[in-house]
Amino acid sequence: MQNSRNKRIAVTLLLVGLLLLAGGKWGWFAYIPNWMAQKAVESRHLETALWWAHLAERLSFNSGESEFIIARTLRKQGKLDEVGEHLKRAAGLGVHKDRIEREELLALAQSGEIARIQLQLDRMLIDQQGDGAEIAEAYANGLVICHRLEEAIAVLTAWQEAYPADPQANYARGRIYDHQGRSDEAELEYRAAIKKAPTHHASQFALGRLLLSRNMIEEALEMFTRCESMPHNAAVRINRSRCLRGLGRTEEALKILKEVVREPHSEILTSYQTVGEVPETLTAQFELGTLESALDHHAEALPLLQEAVDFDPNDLKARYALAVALRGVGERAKAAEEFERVQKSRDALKEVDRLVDEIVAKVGDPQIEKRFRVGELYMMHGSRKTAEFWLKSVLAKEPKHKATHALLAQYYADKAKQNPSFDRLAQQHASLAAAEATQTDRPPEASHHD
Amino acid sequence: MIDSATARFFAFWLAVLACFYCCGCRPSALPSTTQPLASTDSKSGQPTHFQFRDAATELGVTAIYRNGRELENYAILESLGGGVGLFDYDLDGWIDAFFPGGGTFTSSKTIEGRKSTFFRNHGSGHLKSVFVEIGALAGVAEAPFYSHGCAAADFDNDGFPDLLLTGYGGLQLFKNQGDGTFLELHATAGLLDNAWSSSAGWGDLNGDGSLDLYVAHYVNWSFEHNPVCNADGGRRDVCPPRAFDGLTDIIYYSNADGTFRDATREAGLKPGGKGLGVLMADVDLDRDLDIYVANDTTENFLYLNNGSGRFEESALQNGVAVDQEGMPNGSMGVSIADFDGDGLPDIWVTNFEKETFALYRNEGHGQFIHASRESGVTAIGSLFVGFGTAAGDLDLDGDEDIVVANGHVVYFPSQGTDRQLPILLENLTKGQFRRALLPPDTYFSTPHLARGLALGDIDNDGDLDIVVSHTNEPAAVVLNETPRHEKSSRPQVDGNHWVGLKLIGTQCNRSAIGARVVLHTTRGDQSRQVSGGGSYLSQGDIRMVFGIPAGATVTGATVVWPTGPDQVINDLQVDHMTVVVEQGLIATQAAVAADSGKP
Repeated sequence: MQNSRNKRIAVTLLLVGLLLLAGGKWGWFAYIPNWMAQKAVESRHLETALWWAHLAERLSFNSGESEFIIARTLRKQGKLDEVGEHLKRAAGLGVHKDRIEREELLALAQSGEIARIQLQLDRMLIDQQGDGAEIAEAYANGLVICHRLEEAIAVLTAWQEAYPADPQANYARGRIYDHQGRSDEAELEYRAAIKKAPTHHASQFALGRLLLSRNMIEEALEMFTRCESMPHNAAVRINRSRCLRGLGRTEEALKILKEVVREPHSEILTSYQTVGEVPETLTAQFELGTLESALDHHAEALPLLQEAVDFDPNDLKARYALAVALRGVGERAKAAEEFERVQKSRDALKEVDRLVDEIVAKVGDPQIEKRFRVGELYMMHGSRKTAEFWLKSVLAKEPKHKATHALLAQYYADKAKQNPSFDRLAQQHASLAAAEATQTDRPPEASHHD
Repeated sequence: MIDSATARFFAFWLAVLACFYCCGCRPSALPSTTQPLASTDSKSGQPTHFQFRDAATELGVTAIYRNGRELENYAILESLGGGVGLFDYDLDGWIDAFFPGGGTFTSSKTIEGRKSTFFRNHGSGHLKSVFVEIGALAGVAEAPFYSHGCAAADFDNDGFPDLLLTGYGGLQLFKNQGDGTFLELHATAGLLDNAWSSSAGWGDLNGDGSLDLYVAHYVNWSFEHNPVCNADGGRRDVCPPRAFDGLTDIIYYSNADGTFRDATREAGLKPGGKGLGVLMADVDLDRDLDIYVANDTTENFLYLNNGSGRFEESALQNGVAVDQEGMPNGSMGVSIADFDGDGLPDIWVTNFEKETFALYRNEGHGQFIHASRESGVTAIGSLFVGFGTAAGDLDLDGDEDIVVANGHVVYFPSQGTDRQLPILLENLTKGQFRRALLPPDTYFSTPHLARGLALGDIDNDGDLDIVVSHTNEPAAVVLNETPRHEKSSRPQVDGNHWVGLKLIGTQCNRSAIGARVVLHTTRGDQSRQVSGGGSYLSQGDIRMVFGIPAGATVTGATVVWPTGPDQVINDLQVDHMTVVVEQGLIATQAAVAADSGKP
């Protein structure tokens, strides 16, 4: 009796073991997590998607699908340098080569290599194979990077017509309008996206930011509160604190910011990337520093603002706040130096207004040199991200503009010191700068962080 | 696609997933749609105890500023609008009201001035004032240029306030002859300024006892330099200020004989700027007048006086040039008040849309910090284009509130219309503000194309009324009818009261500009200054009104004259206007309507 029972148990265990082995081998256990991951990708909850995809990976010995989803998610997060490795693994685990090639093309599109692959992208838009939304999004993102905004809007509009329930087209178009200063239209797009997907956090964040810029603080606070459940929410909390400060609730703002500045910079950076933003500056330190200053706690503000200025010496807001804090602690000479630097930069940037007016006034004229000068001025005195935008607008119209390549090479080389993934771009632009020029040979004035 | 093997395990894995959830083994931050929203403590708008009534028609004030827009020149000249001047020109104890008339264009693109209007306040009994237009009779109606602003003060120290008119192409100086008429004498006085002037302010800048004059200049627009600018959608619209270069302001120092000299270099003025608002006050409390200039789209100026009329521009270093992010704003109106009751004068500036109105909190020694966010000002939103503004204790509760006149500058605003609601910011306590929302169909609930604004006790009932100039629509005379009881709803035992002070200088200038008063009460001190200029293109009543909250007792006042020594007043009568002569007599007069049946 006993032997017979033991035998049954052993057979059952053997069968269960075989079952588990087979399930792992053929990826049965990974199906649900992969499905969840795919759903999370579609709803733009990318951190959640990664969590499910990694779970699927752990439950299965060889889930090519998980690797593919991870690659796609990383692409959507803008971590393009990590995409290739996961696609390679996915290919090795049996994912069809057509899908791999398509994803590689999408990664290229998203990195702005539109000119090189436009024909293939156009073909993909015709033969979508169920990936229409992904293609349109990557295509539009690439066009935005290349400063081809009207084409990007056209792609997004086509996308929206094909996938009317997808909030991402609205969101992406809203971002473009936002960038163009068409804030009313941007607001409508974000609201449309949220209506379609009430948990579309990127839209909630973007709308909150837009409302905050208009000092519509209570509604902005509501938006940020609604997306506070995001996995990486430091960016959300920073903006919540800005709202609270604007409502005079300084103690609450102070408490939030003191928590956020203790978090690693990488975590804060990730939180911004999650909502499609790439901050150039130490926003948490800046916000807390200026709040401490406003509360007459200049000594507490000083190290925070100094850190912000050290992080980005072109951050005029932080430098101005630093000067105020220095003045507050009685360091009048140092404060005067900082005020003077701010003034000098502001004076230099006044030229930008005039140039931009001239550029806008002649829409059909590429005005390469004026665009370059705007980029150069920003690179020297203002937002380097804005500089990057203007310089790329030069390359969109004159791809061999030597001085622009030189400036961008320098910019990416600086960025590579913190993030080696920028090395490739630095080298690419350096080699183009070194190539025989067709236009401008003059060296750029900008030298980083004098 | 779901393959058949996977399908067999589907139900099994659903159960596994259910276990995951039961055990808490799930992503810790999966998006939730059920999280309740955080509650917010709304400060952007609240029902209020304030009560105001536009009584312009009833009182006989029929002024209209016209800007010539009907000819569609899209000239930035049309944007500035007009101001209002409140001063008692005939010393009858009732403040009169002056309104620049603006201008128009001919088809040949020449610019013509429109007549100003001047309304004498007859007082008329006990319950209301009656104004009668006397511009032509008094000799102040003619404006040979397109006019904008006015500034009134007794520049010749003869006891009667005189009047300066600013505008495009010149200045007019109307000397009050004391017989109800004025004599225009800008040329003989040496005020030969042909630049485009906006706001102006009087003040004794070099301490010689005579009033000097600061005139803000705007930009280098002319019909020869009138570029075509387009709004969103490609329609032509008024060009932004950045399409023009700023003009350097001018200072005239008095020669103490009724004439003036150009002292721009002597004073050390900075070149450039696009000046729209001017305020003269002692911001660092060193007993001389400093100058603050609100510039449009460029850094504001703060000229600190070394006591002898030589200035150092230090707005950036002192924290009042730019906003909280170090960016210059489109600044228009300016006012000064001790909003947080710390004895230091704070500066208040109205700005263009999408910018925050600026409250620069005085940290002492003339150092300021931008405190709009901490004071709740930011919460009013940023779609207002703020112009005229003034601080005053409108509910007599012991702290100064703020009024702002708003209205757009372009023909086709990208958001909303060109008419905007005025704003009343109630000082809740120690410089914490919230916007007071008044009932529908009141002045504050009706959009206007408003520009100049001035405060003054029009009906001598002890509270501050508001006069606003609008572009192409009648001016408003908004009577303050706020009940004088506490903000709580409990039965009223005692209400708020007031103390009025009119200062007359003998050693210093007769208008007492630059004098400071500290009123002592059992609930703490209140500080006010007699300032020059202020608001936007406008002149407010220079008499001071202090609110005394219910339950507080006035224990005296100290007048800090610019020429010293301080004068202590021990027995001030509440609900009365007291006239204080520098180191001399103190006379008290009751308010006409102090007990006129107001609750």
